[in-house]
Amino acid sequence: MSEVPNELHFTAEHEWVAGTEDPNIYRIGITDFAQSALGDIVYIQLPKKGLQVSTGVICGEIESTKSVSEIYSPLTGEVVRVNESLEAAPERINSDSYGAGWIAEIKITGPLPELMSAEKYRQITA
Amino acid sequence: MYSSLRVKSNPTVVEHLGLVEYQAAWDYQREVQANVIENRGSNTLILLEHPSVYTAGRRTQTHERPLDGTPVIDVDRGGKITWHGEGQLVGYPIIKLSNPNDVVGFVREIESALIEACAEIGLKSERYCERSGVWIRDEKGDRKLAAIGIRVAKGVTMHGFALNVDPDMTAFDRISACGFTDTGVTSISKELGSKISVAEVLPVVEAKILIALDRISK
Repeated sequence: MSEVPNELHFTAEHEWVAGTEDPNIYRIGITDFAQSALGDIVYIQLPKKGLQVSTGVICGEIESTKSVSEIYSPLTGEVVRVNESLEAAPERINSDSYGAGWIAEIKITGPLPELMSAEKYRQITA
Repeated sequence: MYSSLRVKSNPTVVEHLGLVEYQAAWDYQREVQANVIENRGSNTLILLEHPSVYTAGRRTQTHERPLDGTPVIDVDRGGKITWHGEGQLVGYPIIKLSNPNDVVGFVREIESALIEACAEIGLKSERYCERSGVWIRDEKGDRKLAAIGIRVAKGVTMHGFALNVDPDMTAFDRISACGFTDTGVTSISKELGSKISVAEVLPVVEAKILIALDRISK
Protein backbone atom coordinates (compact mmCIF):
# COMPACT_ATOMS: atom_id res chain seq x y z
CA MET A 1 0.00 0.00 0.00
CA SER A 2 1.61 3.26 -1.06
CA GLU A 3 1.55 6.46 0.93
CA VAL A 4 -0.92 9.19 -0.11
CA PRO A 5 -0.80 12.39 2.04
CA ASN A 6 -4.23 13.97 2.59
CA GLU A 7 -3.10 17.56 1.98
CA LEU A 8 -1.88 16.99 -1.60
CA HIS A 9 -3.64 16.90 -4.98
CA PHE A 10 -2.98 14.28 -7.65
CA THR A 11 -3.10 13.57 -11.38
CA ALA A 12 -3.86 10.38 -13.28
CA GLU A 13 -0.20 10.47 -14.43
CA HIS A 14 0.77 9.80 -10.77
CA GLU A 15 2.05 13.26 -9.97
CA TRP A 16 1.31 15.32 -6.89
CA VAL A 17 0.67 19.04 -6.59
CA ALA A 18 1.08 21.05 -3.36
CA GLY A 19 0.40 24.70 -2.57
CA THR A 20 3.24 26.96 -1.37
CA GLU A 21 3.29 30.26 0.52
CA ASP A 22 2.75 32.06 -2.78
CA PRO A 23 -0.82 31.35 -3.91
CA ASN A 24 0.26 31.27 -7.57
CA ILE A 25 3.16 28.85 -7.09
CA TYR A 26 2.72 25.10 -6.76
CA ARG A 27 5.27 22.41 -6.02
CA ILE A 28 5.12 19.17 -8.04
CA GLY A 29 6.60 15.71 -7.83
CA ILE A 30 5.78 12.07 -8.53
CA THR A 31 3.84 9.92 -6.09
CA ASP A 32 5.03 7.13 -3.86
CA PHE A 33 3.03 4.74 -6.06
CA ALA A 34 4.86 6.01 -9.17
CA GLN A 35 8.36 5.81 -7.69
CA SER A 36 7.75 2.24 -6.64
CA ALA A 37 6.42 1.26 -10.09
CA LEU A 38 9.42 2.89 -11.81
CA GLY A 39 12.03 1.14 -9.69
CA ASP A 40 15.37 2.50 -8.47
CA ILE A 41 15.77 5.96 -9.95
CA VAL A 42 19.26 6.65 -11.27
CA TYR A 43 18.89 9.83 -13.34
CA ILE A 44 16.52 12.74 -13.79
CA GLN A 45 16.40 15.30 -16.53
CA LEU A 46 14.77 18.25 -14.77
CA PRO A 47 12.76 20.93 -16.54
CA LYS A 48 14.74 24.15 -17.06
CA LYS A 49 14.00 27.15 -14.87
CA GLY A 50 11.96 29.61 -16.93
CA LEU A 51 10.44 26.91 -19.12
CA GLN A 52 6.83 27.53 -20.10
CA VAL A 53 4.85 24.33 -19.53
CA SER A 54 1.29 23.27 -20.08
CA THR A 55 -0.82 20.54 -18.58
CA GLY A 56 -0.02 17.10 -19.99
CA VAL A 57 3.08 18.19 -21.93
CA ILE A 58 6.49 16.54 -21.38
CA CYS A 59 8.68 18.57 -19.02
CA GLY A 60 11.39 16.09 -18.13
CA GLU A 61 12.50 12.46 -17.95
CA ILE A 62 13.12 10.01 -15.17
CA GLU A 63 15.40 7.03 -15.65
CA SER A 64 15.27 4.03 -13.35
CA THR A 65 17.39 0.90 -13.55
CA LYS A 66 14.48 -0.46 -15.63
CA SER A 67 13.46 2.28 -18.05
CA VAL A 68 13.29 5.90 -19.15
CA SER A 69 9.89 7.48 -18.50
CA GLU A 70 8.61 10.90 -19.46
CA ILE A 71 7.37 13.40 -16.86
CA TYR A 72 4.27 15.39 -17.80
CA SER A 73 3.54 18.79 -16.34
CA PRO A 74 0.37 18.69 -14.23
CA LEU A 75 -0.02 22.49 -14.54
CA THR A 76 0.16 25.31 -17.05
CA GLY A 77 2.60 28.08 -16.23
CA GLU A 78 6.30 28.82 -15.79
CA VAL A 79 8.89 26.69 -14.00
CA VAL A 80 10.28 29.02 -11.32
CA ARG A 81 12.35 26.58 -9.22
CA VAL A 82 13.74 23.12 -9.78
CA ASN A 83 15.12 20.69 -7.22
CA GLU A 84 18.73 20.66 -8.43
CA SER A 85 19.76 18.40 -5.53
CA LEU A 86 18.15 15.53 -7.46
CA GLU A 87 20.88 15.71 -10.11
CA ALA A 88 23.40 14.34 -7.61
CA ALA A 89 20.90 12.30 -5.60
CA PRO A 90 17.99 11.15 -7.81
CA GLU A 91 17.32 8.29 -5.37
CA ARG A 92 15.63 10.88 -3.11
CA ILE A 93 12.61 10.45 -5.37
CA ASN A 94 12.44 6.84 -4.16
CA SER A 95 13.13 7.51 -0.51
CA ASP A 96 11.09 10.69 0.00
CA SER A 97 8.87 11.31 -3.02
CA TYR A 98 6.67 13.88 -1.26
CA GLY A 99 9.50 15.70 0.54
CA ALA A 100 13.16 15.89 -0.53
CA GLY A 101 12.19 14.25 -3.84
CA TRP A 102 10.08 17.20 -5.08
CA ILE A 103 10.81 18.03 -8.72
CA ALA A 104 9.84 21.62 -9.54
CA GLU A 105 7.76 24.65 -8.64
CA ILE A 106 5.45 26.13 -11.22
CA LYS A 107 3.91 29.60 -11.23
CA ILE A 108 0.54 29.02 -12.78
CA THR A 109 -0.97 31.22 -15.45
CA GLY A 110 -4.71 30.81 -15.37
CA PRO A 111 -6.87 28.57 -13.24
CA LEU A 112 -5.74 25.30 -11.65
CA PRO A 113 -6.74 22.27 -13.71
CA GLU A 114 -9.01 19.70 -12.13
CA LEU A 115 -6.95 17.50 -9.83
CA MET A 116 -7.76 14.46 -7.70
CA SER A 117 -8.15 14.48 -3.95
CA ALA A 118 -6.08 12.06 -1.86
CA GLU A 119 -9.17 9.94 -1.36
CA LYS A 120 -9.83 9.67 -5.10
CA TYR A 121 -6.16 8.95 -5.82
CA ARG A 122 -6.17 6.16 -3.22
CA GLN A 123 -9.10 4.61 -5.06
CA ILE A 124 -7.36 4.54 -8.45
CA THR A 125 -4.14 3.13 -7.02
CA ALA A 126 -5.74 0.59 -4.67
CA MET B 1 -3.14 -21.07 -19.73
CA TYR B 2 -5.96 -18.68 -18.95
CA SER B 3 -4.45 -15.72 -20.72
CA SER B 4 -4.63 -17.34 -24.14
CA LEU B 5 -8.34 -18.03 -23.68
CA ARG B 6 -9.18 -14.40 -23.14
CA VAL B 7 -10.46 -12.52 -26.15
CA LYS B 8 -8.40 -9.36 -26.45
CA SER B 9 -9.72 -6.36 -28.30
CA ASN B 10 -6.17 -5.42 -29.22
CA PRO B 11 -4.01 -8.53 -29.76
CA THR B 12 -0.30 -7.97 -30.36
CA VAL B 13 0.78 -7.99 -34.00
CA VAL B 14 4.19 -9.60 -34.65
CA GLU B 15 6.49 -8.19 -37.33
CA HIS B 16 9.57 -10.13 -38.47
CA LEU B 17 11.81 -7.55 -40.09
CA GLY B 18 14.99 -9.57 -40.64
CA LEU B 19 18.23 -7.55 -40.71
CA VAL B 20 17.58 -3.80 -40.29
CA GLU B 21 19.96 -0.86 -39.68
CA TYR B 22 19.60 0.46 -36.12
CA GLN B 23 18.59 4.00 -37.07
CA ALA B 24 15.92 2.87 -39.55
CA ALA B 25 14.45 0.50 -36.97
CA TRP B 26 14.50 3.25 -34.32
CA ASP B 27 12.61 5.64 -36.63
CA TYR B 28 10.11 2.89 -37.36
CA GLN B 29 9.64 2.16 -33.65
CA ARG B 30 8.80 5.80 -32.97
CA GLU B 31 6.24 5.74 -35.77
CA VAL B 32 4.60 2.59 -34.38
CA GLN B 33 4.68 3.99 -30.83
CA ALA B 34 2.99 7.23 -31.92
CA ASN B 35 0.26 5.18 -33.58
CA VAL B 36 -0.28 3.03 -30.49
CA ILE B 37 -0.42 6.14 -28.25
CA GLU B 38 -3.05 7.68 -30.56
CA ASN B 39 -5.01 4.38 -30.71
CA ARG B 40 -4.37 4.28 -34.47
CA GLY B 41 -2.28 1.11 -34.41
CA SER B 42 -2.15 -2.29 -32.72
CA ASN B 43 0.19 -3.34 -29.97
CA THR B 44 3.23 -4.58 -31.90
CA LEU B 45 6.16 -6.90 -31.25
CA ILE B 46 9.01 -6.21 -33.68
CA LEU B 47 11.62 -8.97 -34.00
CA LEU B 48 14.81 -8.34 -35.94
CA GLU B 49 18.59 -8.32 -36.04
CA HIS B 50 20.80 -5.27 -36.49
CA PRO B 51 24.05 -5.03 -38.43
CA SER B 52 26.94 -4.39 -36.02
CA VAL B 53 26.39 -1.16 -34.04
CA TYR B 54 27.08 0.34 -30.62
CA THR B 55 24.30 2.30 -28.92
CA ALA B 56 24.60 4.37 -25.76
CA GLY B 57 21.96 5.47 -23.26
CA ARG B 58 22.39 8.95 -21.85
CA ARG B 59 24.10 7.87 -18.65
CA THR B 60 26.98 6.26 -20.57
CA GLN B 61 30.30 7.69 -19.43
CA THR B 62 33.14 8.54 -21.77
CA HIS B 63 35.40 5.78 -20.46
CA GLU B 64 32.69 3.19 -21.17
CA ARG B 65 32.69 4.02 -24.89
CA PRO B 66 34.94 2.25 -27.43
CA LEU B 67 38.44 3.66 -27.18
CA ASP B 68 39.22 3.40 -30.88
CA GLY B 69 36.67 5.88 -32.20
CA THR B 70 34.16 3.28 -33.40
CA PRO B 71 30.90 5.17 -34.05
CA VAL B 72 28.24 5.03 -31.34
CA ILE B 73 24.58 6.01 -31.72
CA ASP B 74 23.24 7.95 -28.74
CA VAL B 75 19.75 6.70 -27.91
CA ASP B 76 16.87 7.56 -25.58
CA ARG B 77 16.34 4.18 -23.91
CA GLY B 78 17.26 3.30 -20.35
CA GLY B 79 20.64 1.77 -19.63
CA LYS B 80 24.19 2.53 -20.74
CA ILE B 81 26.25 1.32 -23.70
CA THR B 82 25.66 -1.94 -25.53
CA TRP B 83 26.36 -3.65 -28.81
CA HIS B 84 23.96 -5.10 -31.37
CA GLY B 85 24.86 -7.30 -34.31
CA GLU B 86 23.99 -10.35 -36.33
CA GLY B 87 23.40 -13.44 -34.22
CA GLN B 88 21.59 -11.40 -31.59
CA LEU B 89 17.79 -11.56 -31.48
CA VAL B 90 16.36 -8.10 -30.84
CA GLY B 91 12.74 -7.59 -29.78
CA TYR B 92 10.91 -4.29 -29.53
CA PRO B 93 7.53 -4.68 -27.79
CA ILE B 94 5.53 -1.53 -28.45
CA ILE B 95 2.49 -1.97 -26.28
CA LYS B 96 0.03 0.03 -24.21
CA LEU B 97 0.57 -1.04 -20.60
CA SER B 98 -2.56 -1.94 -18.65
CA ASN B 99 -0.91 -0.10 -15.74
CA PRO B 100 0.84 2.78 -17.53
CA ASN B 101 3.43 3.36 -14.82
CA ASP B 102 4.35 -0.19 -14.03
CA VAL B 103 7.66 -0.45 -15.82
CA VAL B 104 9.06 -2.68 -13.09
CA GLY B 105 6.26 -5.17 -13.79
CA PHE B 106 6.76 -4.88 -17.55
CA VAL B 107 10.49 -5.55 -17.38
CA ARG B 108 9.91 -8.44 -14.98
CA GLU B 109 7.50 -10.04 -17.48
CA ILE B 110 9.99 -9.67 -20.34
CA GLU B 111 12.75 -11.15 -18.20
CA SER B 112 10.54 -14.08 -17.16
CA ALA B 113 9.57 -14.77 -20.77
CA LEU B 114 13.23 -14.81 -21.88
CA ILE B 115 14.19 -17.04 -18.94
CA GLU B 116 11.39 -19.47 -19.87
CA ALA B 117 12.47 -19.44 -23.53
CA CYS B 118 16.06 -20.20 -22.55
CA ALA B 119 14.88 -23.02 -20.29
CA GLU B 120 13.01 -24.52 -23.22
CA ILE B 121 16.22 -24.41 -25.26
CA GLY B 122 18.00 -26.15 -22.37
CA LEU B 123 19.73 -23.24 -20.69
CA LYS B 124 19.15 -22.16 -17.09
CA SER B 125 19.22 -18.40 -16.62
CA GLU B 126 17.98 -15.94 -14.02
CA ARG B 127 17.35 -12.38 -12.92
CA TYR B 128 19.99 -10.32 -11.14
CA CYS B 129 18.14 -8.29 -8.50
CA GLU B 130 18.22 -4.60 -9.40
CA ARG B 131 20.15 -5.08 -12.65
CA SER B 132 17.81 -5.60 -15.55
CA GLY B 133 18.33 -8.30 -18.15
CA VAL B 134 18.81 -12.05 -18.09
CA TRP B 135 21.92 -13.54 -16.56
CA ILE B 136 23.81 -16.78 -16.14
CA ARG B 137 25.14 -16.99 -12.60
CA ASP B 138 27.29 -19.89 -11.46
CA GLU B 139 30.70 -20.71 -10.02
CA LYS B 140 32.31 -19.26 -13.18
CA GLY B 141 30.85 -15.84 -12.36
CA ASP B 142 27.99 -13.60 -13.51
CA ARG B 143 27.49 -12.98 -17.21
CA LYS B 144 24.73 -11.27 -19.11
CA LEU B 145 22.82 -13.21 -21.73
CA ALA B 146 20.14 -10.65 -22.63
CA ALA B 147 20.05 -6.88 -22.18
CA ILE B 148 16.89 -4.87 -21.63
CA GLY B 149 16.48 -1.12 -22.21
CA ILE B 150 13.07 0.50 -22.31
CA ARG B 151 11.42 3.86 -22.81
CA VAL B 152 7.83 4.59 -21.82
CA ALA B 153 5.78 7.48 -23.20
CA LYS B 154 2.09 7.97 -22.34
CA GLY B 155 2.00 4.42 -21.00
CA VAL B 156 3.31 2.92 -24.27
CA THR B 157 6.65 1.09 -24.33
CA MET B 158 9.43 1.16 -26.93
CA HIS B 159 12.97 -0.23 -27.27
CA GLY B 160 13.20 -3.67 -25.67
CA PHE B 161 15.49 -6.65 -25.35
CA ALA B 162 18.57 -8.07 -27.08
CA LEU B 163 19.26 -11.77 -26.60
CA ASN B 164 22.73 -13.02 -27.55
CA VAL B 165 22.08 -16.19 -29.51
CA ASP B 166 25.26 -16.70 -31.53
CA PRO B 167 26.87 -13.32 -32.22
CA ASP B 168 30.57 -12.47 -32.58
CA MET B 169 31.14 -11.84 -28.88
CA THR B 170 34.45 -10.02 -29.45
CA ALA B 171 32.40 -6.90 -30.24
CA PHE B 172 31.71 -6.58 -26.51
CA ASP B 173 35.41 -6.46 -25.69
CA ARG B 174 35.67 -2.84 -26.80
CA ILE B 175 33.11 -1.49 -24.33
CA SER B 176 32.07 -1.83 -20.69
CA ALA B 177 28.75 -3.41 -21.63
CA CYS B 178 25.95 -1.68 -19.75
CA GLY B 179 28.57 0.06 -17.64
CA PHE B 180 29.39 -3.04 -15.61
CA THR B 181 33.06 -3.75 -15.16
CA ASP B 182 32.66 -6.60 -12.67
CA THR B 183 30.68 -8.92 -14.95
CA GLY B 184 30.88 -10.36 -18.45
CA VAL B 185 28.58 -11.09 -21.35
CA THR B 186 27.72 -14.41 -22.91
CA SER B 187 25.56 -16.05 -25.57
CA ILE B 188 23.27 -19.07 -25.77
CA SER B 189 25.66 -20.88 -28.17
CA LYS B 190 28.64 -20.23 -25.91
CA GLU B 191 26.79 -21.53 -22.83
CA LEU B 192 25.38 -24.60 -24.57
CA GLY B 193 28.69 -25.34 -26.26
CA SER B 194 26.97 -25.88 -29.59
CA LYS B 195 25.88 -23.59 -32.40
CA ILE B 196 22.26 -22.48 -32.35
CA SER B 197 20.86 -19.89 -34.74
CA VAL B 198 18.54 -16.90 -34.30
CA ALA B 199 16.09 -18.69 -36.61
CA GLU B 200 15.90 -21.63 -34.21
CA VAL B 201 15.48 -19.50 -31.08
CA LEU B 202 13.07 -16.94 -32.52
CA PRO B 203 9.80 -18.97 -32.44
CA VAL B 204 10.40 -20.02 -28.82
CA VAL B 205 11.10 -16.45 -27.70
CA GLU B 206 8.19 -15.08 -29.73
CA ALA B 207 5.71 -17.49 -28.14
CA LYS B 208 6.85 -16.74 -24.56
CA ILE B 209 7.00 -12.97 -25.08
CA LEU B 210 3.50 -12.90 -26.57
CA ILE B 211 2.05 -14.68 -23.54
CA ALA B 212 3.79 -12.15 -21.28
CA LEU B 213 2.61 -9.16 -23.33
CA ASP B 214 -0.94 -10.42 -23.24
CA ARG B 215 -0.86 -10.27 -19.45
CA ILE B 216 0.33 -6.67 -19.20
CA SER B 217 -1.05 -4.88 -22.25
CA LYS B 218 -4.42 -3.32 -22.84
